[in-house]
Amino acid sequence: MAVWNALEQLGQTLVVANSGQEALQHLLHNDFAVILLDVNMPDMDGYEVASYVRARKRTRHIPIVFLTALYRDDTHLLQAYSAGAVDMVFKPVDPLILRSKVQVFVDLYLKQAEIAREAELRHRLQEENFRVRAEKLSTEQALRRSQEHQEAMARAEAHQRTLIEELNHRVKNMLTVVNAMARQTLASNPAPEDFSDKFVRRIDALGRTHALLSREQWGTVQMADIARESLEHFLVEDKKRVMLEGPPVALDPKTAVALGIVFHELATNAVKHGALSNDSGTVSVSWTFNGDETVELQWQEDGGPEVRQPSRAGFGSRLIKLELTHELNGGAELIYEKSGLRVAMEFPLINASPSAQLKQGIAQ
Amino acid sequence: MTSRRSARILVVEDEALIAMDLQALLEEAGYDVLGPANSSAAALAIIDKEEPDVALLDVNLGRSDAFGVARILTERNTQVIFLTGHTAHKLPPAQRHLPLVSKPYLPQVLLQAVARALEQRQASTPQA
Repeated sequence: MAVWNALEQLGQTLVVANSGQEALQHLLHNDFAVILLDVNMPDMDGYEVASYVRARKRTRHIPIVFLTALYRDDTHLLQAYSAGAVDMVFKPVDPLILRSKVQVFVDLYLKQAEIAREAELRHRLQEENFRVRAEKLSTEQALRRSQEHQEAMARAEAHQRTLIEELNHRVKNMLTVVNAMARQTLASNPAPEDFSDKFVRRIDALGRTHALLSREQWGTVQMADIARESLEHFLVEDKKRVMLEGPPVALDPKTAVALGIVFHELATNAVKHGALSNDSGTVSVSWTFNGDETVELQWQEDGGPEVRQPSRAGFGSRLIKLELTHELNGGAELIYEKSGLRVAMEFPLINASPSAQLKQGIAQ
Repeated sequence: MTSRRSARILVVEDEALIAMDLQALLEEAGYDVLGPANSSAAALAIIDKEEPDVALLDVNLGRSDAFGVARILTERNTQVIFLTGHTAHKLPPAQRHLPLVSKPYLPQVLLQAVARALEQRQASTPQA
């Protein structure tokens, strides 16, 4: 009771235990700034209680002050300190001394608690800092991914616009070619029936080449295929009258279109005036492909009516020459041999044409 | 007194049939045709030796374009007309003021553009 009165003024929570057992019960659930422990108690004395307090990890740090009336001699002091006492207070208790001693432990406890709180706060701040930084990092990554996505979309749209412009340009160019074909056909065939027949056949030949190129998705086509496609419908009855002979040669679309026109003009002429105008004449189409990437192509007619050099170059022969020189950077020579027309042509092979680029575009 | 020679028109167009058509249209109208050239290089080889009054330039020439040739020609006071399936925004800013004939072209539109260019050429050439 004297102890209680002495400590009440400190304004701290006081917990009273009436036995060692009860004291240990309190210690199981609560933390304390200091334990004032009477040495002399029934059942379990103060030393034993102190040994339990020291043995438990959660209570080991709590300072113990022994209260004792009797044993002021050195052996008891030694026993008390070895049991874990940090101080001794002797009965009868001097309230002032007890209060100031306990005050020291209370202050110490409060300071420790404050330090622990500060450490905890610092730890939480640090964790928060880490979390915010991680969040920022992942936000930045997401932003970067979204920017990359937008850039990819923009690139795809730009690519599509380019393709549409390229297609638009091609259509206009093709219409211009058709116009030119009409005007030039009309210039050499003023009679309406002649014009209509020639013009429609020429457009048909262009269409066939385009269909072939479409099937190959505007990649390359074989020389043999373009020759067969252009000549086939002139040879419904006897296909053996036209012989094709040459190694595989892959032609870019520009070259294929030009040769389609050339084969059409040659075949038209052969059917009207040359080896295919009778029942027995033949045409031999042969080509070689040199190491220096030059293709030599020969059209040789045989067994037709006797051939004479025409007085002036017609549209067909001018077109053949122009396709070879202007379109293919090559050349063509028309030799009017008695036994049949021979046309010797040569041109370099160019692989990377704008059409190949367009095809790449479509494939993407 | 200017000479009575026909005006000389340079044609640069890589498509054989269109080149043939342009040549025929211009010759029928009484002009002398230089070319047709199928590339920038071929056009440059021609203007190295000749001085055309007017040049009709296809914008797309295979893998290259006619803008370099156009620049040289305008510096030499040859009147340039672009002939293209593209719109004017495809032209370099410095050349957007030059006349442009769209493909597919009507012969009379083409010949009108040539006649107008020749007037310009005569107006801007000092009389001897």
